[in-house]
Amino acid sequence: MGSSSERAERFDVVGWKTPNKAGAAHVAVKASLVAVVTSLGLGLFLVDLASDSILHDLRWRMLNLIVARERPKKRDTTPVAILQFITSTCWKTFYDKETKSLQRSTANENEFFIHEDDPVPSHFISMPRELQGRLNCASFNAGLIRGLLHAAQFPASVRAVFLNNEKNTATTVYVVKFFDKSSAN
Amino acid sequence: MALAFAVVGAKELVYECRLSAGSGVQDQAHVHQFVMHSALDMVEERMWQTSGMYLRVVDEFNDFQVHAWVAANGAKLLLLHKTIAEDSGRRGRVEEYVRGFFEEVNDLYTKVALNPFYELDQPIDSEVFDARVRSCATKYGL
Repeated sequence: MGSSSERAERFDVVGWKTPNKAGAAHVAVKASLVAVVTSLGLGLFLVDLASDSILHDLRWRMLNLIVARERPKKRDTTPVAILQFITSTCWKTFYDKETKSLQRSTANENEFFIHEDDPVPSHFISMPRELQGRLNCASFNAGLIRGLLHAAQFPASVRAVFLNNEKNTATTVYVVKFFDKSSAN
Repeated sequence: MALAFAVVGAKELVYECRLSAGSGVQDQAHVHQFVMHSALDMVEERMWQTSGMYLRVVDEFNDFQVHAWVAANGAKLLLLHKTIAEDSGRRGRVEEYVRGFFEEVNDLYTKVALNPFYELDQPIDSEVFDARVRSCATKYGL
């Protein structure tokens, strides 16, 4: 770092303000992830974990960028506000659509549910019969949400679960549970 | 006029630089660092009370004042300088200059963060970043 090989141009980037669509990139990342984990012979639950943690790491960088593009100089200070920001603005940046709905759980004050109809990572995935129900590819998105929340200083755990509704199509629900701040300190 | 500038990531100091060329600054360097770090507590408190990023003056110690700015991912930018009297007409202008400076450095920080090889809380070693920060400081008369 700091040697003559460093490119000063990266600080001159001006076109970063216009987003680009990364749909194909997501598919490629997901495919390679599944391939690597299965070739290593590890259990499938690790794909869950791996996709979760990979996105979690990347998201703190993206949070800065998205905020700079869409809403300069404003931050969110409440859980509801940050979740609304994620489900609308961030989702638009990544996937060009918004999630279906955002609800607060009645059982627990710190829990929220986010419904989504057709999560992009699961578009082209159909699970082989023996894995049905054991692996949810939308955990990719769960890691994304968790990373963004973590970066915004709202530690939380996010799980992706399937919810069958009356029309017999499965909706994906992300269960977001915020850690209690007072116990974390 | 400004004495020192520091960037603090989630938990650790990531970057700092001396902005003033006056004599005696070197001796005072550790005092500056101490004052800025003790201001961090106030920053933590203040950042949850407002949804803006610019926190103005967050702490005062003897004749030093610390301005702060919180980035979207929680990184804090701190600027230390000598106290400016409340009633002097310069106060408002200085606030605007400091805000402009923070905005530009926030842009620079975002670009550093986009580097996939840069991890959270890693010290920023880039000479280009250092040069850009200093030129921003001169541009805003700090």
